[in-house]
Amino acid sequence: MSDFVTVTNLTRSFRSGSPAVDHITFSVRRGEIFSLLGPNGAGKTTTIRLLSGLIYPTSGEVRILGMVSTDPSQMERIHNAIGLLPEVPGLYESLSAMENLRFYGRMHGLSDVTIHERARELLSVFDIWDRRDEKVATYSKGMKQKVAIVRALLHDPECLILDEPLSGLDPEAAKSTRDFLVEQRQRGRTVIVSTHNLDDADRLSDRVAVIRSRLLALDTPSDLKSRLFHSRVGIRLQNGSPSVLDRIRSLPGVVDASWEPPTLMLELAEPDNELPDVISALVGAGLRLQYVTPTEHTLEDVYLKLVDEARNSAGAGS
Amino acid sequence: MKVNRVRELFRKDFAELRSNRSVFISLFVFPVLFLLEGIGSAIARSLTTTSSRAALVASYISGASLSLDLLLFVPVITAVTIGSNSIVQEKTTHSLEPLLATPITDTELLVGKAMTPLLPGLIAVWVCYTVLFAVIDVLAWPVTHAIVFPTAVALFQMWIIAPLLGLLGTFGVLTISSWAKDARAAQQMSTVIELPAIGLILVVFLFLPSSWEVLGLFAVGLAVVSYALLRMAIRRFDRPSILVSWR
Repeated sequence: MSDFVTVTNLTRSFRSGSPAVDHITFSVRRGEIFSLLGPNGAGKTTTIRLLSGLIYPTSGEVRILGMVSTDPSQMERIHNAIGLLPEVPGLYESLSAMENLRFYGRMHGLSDVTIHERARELLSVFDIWDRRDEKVATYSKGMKQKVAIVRALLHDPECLILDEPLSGLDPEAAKSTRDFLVEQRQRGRTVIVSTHNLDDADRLSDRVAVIRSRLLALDTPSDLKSRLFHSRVGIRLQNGSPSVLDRIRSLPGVVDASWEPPTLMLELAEPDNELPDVISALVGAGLRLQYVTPTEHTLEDVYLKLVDEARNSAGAGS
Repeated sequence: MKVNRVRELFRKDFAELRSNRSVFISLFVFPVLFLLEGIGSAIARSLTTTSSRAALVASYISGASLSLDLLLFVPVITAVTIGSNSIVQEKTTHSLEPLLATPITDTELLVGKAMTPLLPGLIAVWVCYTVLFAVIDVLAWPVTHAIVFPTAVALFQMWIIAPLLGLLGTFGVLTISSWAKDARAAQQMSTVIELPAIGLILVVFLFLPSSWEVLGLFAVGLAVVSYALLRMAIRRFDRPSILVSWR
């Protein structure tokens, strides 16, 4: 899989304060869903703007399909290759959805026939086709967000860059948008998403980058979880009590144990090797096991741990 | 520069302007008032009697000149009224970001943004001049048996001075829009442009003796200043800083 975007030592500073984006290096592969995670003010929107070629780096570079994002001679190709959904939809409220789309389509050089066909196809996916001629000002927040997503896709870009695409959407609309993004990936489109919603990122992303001005981690959600946490197993006991903890903690390979009645929660270094011994020990101690369930750490756990560590190291350094 | 992108931006801006009825209608208030003043003056002239035909023609021309001069305010006022909101509105409604994500260049954006403030005022002036010429000729013909308007000076004002004043107002506003740190400052500073431009029109057309030298110098001065403002607008227009610094 070749890279769609490569980011090298990307830094963007503003007049006051420390850099919003500080020496970030990563690449986004073609046809993957790549999520940018980070707390407020972590530089996600700045990174999105840098990736879209809307603002220029203070140092370092962004290459889109091998083209440097600041090269004016490549601007048209870059902007035609990218479909951007900004943080705020930014539609022309006094115009209808169709007038908005016609304007943006023509700016990308599309014919009116193509604009009409694409608008019908995409607006129908989001159930807005019947209301296409109504002024955007009369739309709900979620509808505006959907029209803005359609606008980003209208010129059939190779890559979608979406800043908080699911914000403002009700659960049903959020699900249909998630499904839609997965479908875009299946069609070979690259999708870069900035989001606060860790559950969405976990479900959608092929890879996630956690940033807090600097790049804290970059990997697939499952590899991040296994890299940062040991495997967890929950053992539900019929006749358990906290006293079992001392016995279990002394077993080799048990990293941590806690009692969450009626379940014994264990963190194991290598569960495939250690779990049989743990179960034998529990049975030997006269405990009756109801069932054993592997439990996963969530991306939220990963995110909170990374951000916390970054905050602590920044505090220690200052 | 791709003309179709400039045209689309103008179309979009004009459609937005038209949808704001109160602003759109207010654009016609001054041209209509100035036109009515000219027509009223011409009717009054037609009711007076003068023996010489040359004196009659001269009285019609002098009667209409105030109206023709006042109409020159229109391109400046319209440019400032519409133009001060042009880029500012894109920023405050957050539509600038998706617009800049299209392949539009800075020059296309500035030229497209200049069309809406420039054209309505200019078209209003051209229509009003044409109507005034026709009304005066119809009223004067029975007694003068001569075509009074258009005079060479009136044509010069219509085709050279009015567009240059429109360009001055438009480029001035665009320069300020590119310069301002926020939307409110852009709107307030834009109104300041009106004052020297209107003062200049008053001095040249109402207080200085009417001559081709004065008109020519005025036109050259307007062209030079407008060009300088355009260059400044293009040089100062910095999309990244507008995106990140305006609130």
